[in-house]
Amino acid sequence: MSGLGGVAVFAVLTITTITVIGYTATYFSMQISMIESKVNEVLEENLDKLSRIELIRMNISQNNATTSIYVSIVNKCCKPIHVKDLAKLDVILVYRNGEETKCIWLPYDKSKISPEGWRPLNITYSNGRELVNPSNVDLSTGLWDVGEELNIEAWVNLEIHGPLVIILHPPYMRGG
Amino acid sequence: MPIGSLMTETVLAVTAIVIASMLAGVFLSTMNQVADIQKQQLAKFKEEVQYSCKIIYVYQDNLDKLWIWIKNTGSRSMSLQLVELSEIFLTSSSNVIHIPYNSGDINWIYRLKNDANSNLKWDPTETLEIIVNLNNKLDLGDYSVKFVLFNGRSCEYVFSVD
Repeated sequence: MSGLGGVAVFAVLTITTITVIGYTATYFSMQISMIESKVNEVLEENLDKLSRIELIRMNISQNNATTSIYVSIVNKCCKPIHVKDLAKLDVILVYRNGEETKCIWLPYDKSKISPEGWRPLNITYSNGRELVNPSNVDLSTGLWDVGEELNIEAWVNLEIHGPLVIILHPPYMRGG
Repeated sequence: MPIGSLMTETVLAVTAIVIASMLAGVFLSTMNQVADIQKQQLAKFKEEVQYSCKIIYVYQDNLDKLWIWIKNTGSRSMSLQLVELSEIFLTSSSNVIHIPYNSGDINWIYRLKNDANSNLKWDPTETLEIIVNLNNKLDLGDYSVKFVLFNGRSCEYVFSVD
């Protein structure tokens, strides 16, 4: 083979190789960007749903064979919860009745009609009225913002003597 | 340059180009397959995230029943038919029990607890109350309950009974 032919073949092979490598690199880069953006999108969607609450105060009172539990909860993370979504808050009461442990999932009952249930009372900030996105008196509009306290009343039509535990779960949380 | 040599070079050059084209073709086809697999994996990942759950609490009453409260932590609603395709596994240190929905001696039934919009779907943020009918009270010890959704996504909770 002459020198010219060798150079030609070499040139063609080189160009082909460079083209294929360039295409591959671009393709992979695009794929990785696409995957990253999709994963970020899904993760952000999930993070947006995440909420965390913390019980800071609990008082128990007994009245006419009804036990009322007043609880203050702070919204700790990560976004405000609309008062409409408070109905999706889970309130579970665990208590001891004699030697037996009992457990009740309390329904949301804003009007306090049921023999057992829970209802939101108000939302406060630093023991005063809310500053940001205030809710109205009947808690039909407004937001429970991060840092604000939600005060709720849970009740059961029985006398509870001894310790009790109240389990609270926010509307939005990570699965698992 | 002799004609024979020129022809040889031409044939070699053409062969090189053909081989390079074939290789590129195979390569591009493989790339497309890889892209399809990635898209499928992403779709699966997205579906798994869209449908997820979390067990809030498990409690055994004195009537051989296990009460489980589970929240829909995904972003999609589940029809009741999909809920009924779920499976429950109860595991102790010595045994694993598969609990079917509403059939057999040991089974589970459910209720939607806070279906605020009354659409009879298990919507995101809503809670499902599951009642597992056991034949006997669970013995003292530690247990794990696993709730597996229709798509294989699951949530698990460890509890103990005294």
